[in-house]
Formats: sequence, C-alpha cells, structure tokens
Amino acid sequence: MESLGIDIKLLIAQIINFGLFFYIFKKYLAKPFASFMSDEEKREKEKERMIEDLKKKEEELTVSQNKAKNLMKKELDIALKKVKEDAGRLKANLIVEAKKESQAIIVKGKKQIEVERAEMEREMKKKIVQLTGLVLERSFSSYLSSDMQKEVNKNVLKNLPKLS
Amino acid sequence: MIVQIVSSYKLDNDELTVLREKLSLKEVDTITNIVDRSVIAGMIINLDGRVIDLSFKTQLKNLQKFVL
Repeated sequence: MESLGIDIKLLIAQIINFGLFFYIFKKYLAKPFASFMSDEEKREKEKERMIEDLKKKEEELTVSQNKAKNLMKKELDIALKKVKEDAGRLKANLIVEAKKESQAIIVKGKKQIEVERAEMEREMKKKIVQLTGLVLERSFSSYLSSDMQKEVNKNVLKNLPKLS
Repeated sequence: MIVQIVSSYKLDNDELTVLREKLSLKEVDTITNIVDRSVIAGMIINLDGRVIDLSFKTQLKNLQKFVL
C-alpha cells in the first residue's frame, strides 16, 4: 500500500472524517434541506397547478365572454329586427292615419266649400231679392200715378171684409 | 174709438165713407188720415191698436220674404 503512495492512517482518518461528516450531514442538514427542497417542489407544483387553473379559468372566461358576446349579438339582432318591424308597422300606421286625416280634411274642405257656396248663394239671392224689392218699391213710388193709387185703394176697400 | 189710417195720399170723403162702413164705425168715432208716400198704395189701418196692413209696400216686403 505504501508503495502505491496510500497512507493507511490518513485513509482511515479520512474515512472516519467522511463517516462523521456523513452522519452529521444526514442528521442535521440533509433532512431540513430535503424538507426545504420538498416544500419548494410542492410550492412549485402548487404554482404550476395554480397557473394551470388560471389558464383554464382564463380559457373558460374567454369562452363565456364569447358566448356572452354571441348571445348579446343575437339579442341585439333580435331587438334590432323587432325595432325595425315596429318602425315599419308604425310607419305604415302613420301613413294610414295621414291618409285618413288628409281624406277627412279633403271631405271637410269640400263640405266647407259647399256650405260657403250655399251661404254665398243664399246671400246673393237675398241681395238680389232685396235689390229687386227696392227697385220695385222705387219704381212703383215713381210711376204709380194718383189714379192708379186710387184704383188700388178702391180694390183694397172693396176686398176689405166688413168688421163687426 | 180713434182710427188712424196711413195712406200714400189724402183719402177723399167717398173712400172714408166706405171705410167707415167696412169698419163699422160710429159717427162719434174719428178717423185720422196720415199721408206717407212710402206706403206706395193701399193703406195701413190702426184700429185702437189693432193694425190691418193693406199697403203695397208691405205686400212687396211679404213677397220678398216669400221668395227668400
């Protein structure tokens, strides 16, 4: 052994030294370190799991957002369609109402014109009759001679019934 | 009784006599004759508030009313 350059004593001392070191390391350092490592590993796994969960939740959220968007779009489309239909119906109703009103206005206007024309005709007739009466009155006053007046009075007296 | 006659000219006695007779007037009843040219012809008799309108003017007015 000596020829190989190995010192037995030193080797034994080193083995003992290593044994002591191993014992001390195992007893006081290896367990906490292993525990620490194990905790770290657990924490890492937990983190990964949480990241996975978050990713899943994010994906779910994205899916639900897309669903909500689609649903909203559908509802919006339905509402828009309904509004368009309502607007169309309202427009049609308004047109019908406007036609009715214009028809009523035309009928009323015609009636008014008829009434005014009748009134005008009545007024004109009245004026003509009044004017004719005035002309006749003036004419009779001017051209009825005394003899004619006497003749009229004679007839009036003749036809006057005797009062009792 | 007071009788008022409105005529276009002053009535003569003959006409007044006929009138008295027709209206059955007594001698004491007086006739007042008012001349109004607007009557045209005929007469309006007011017999104590009772009016008998026999004037040409009123006949024309009645004709106007009838036409209207």
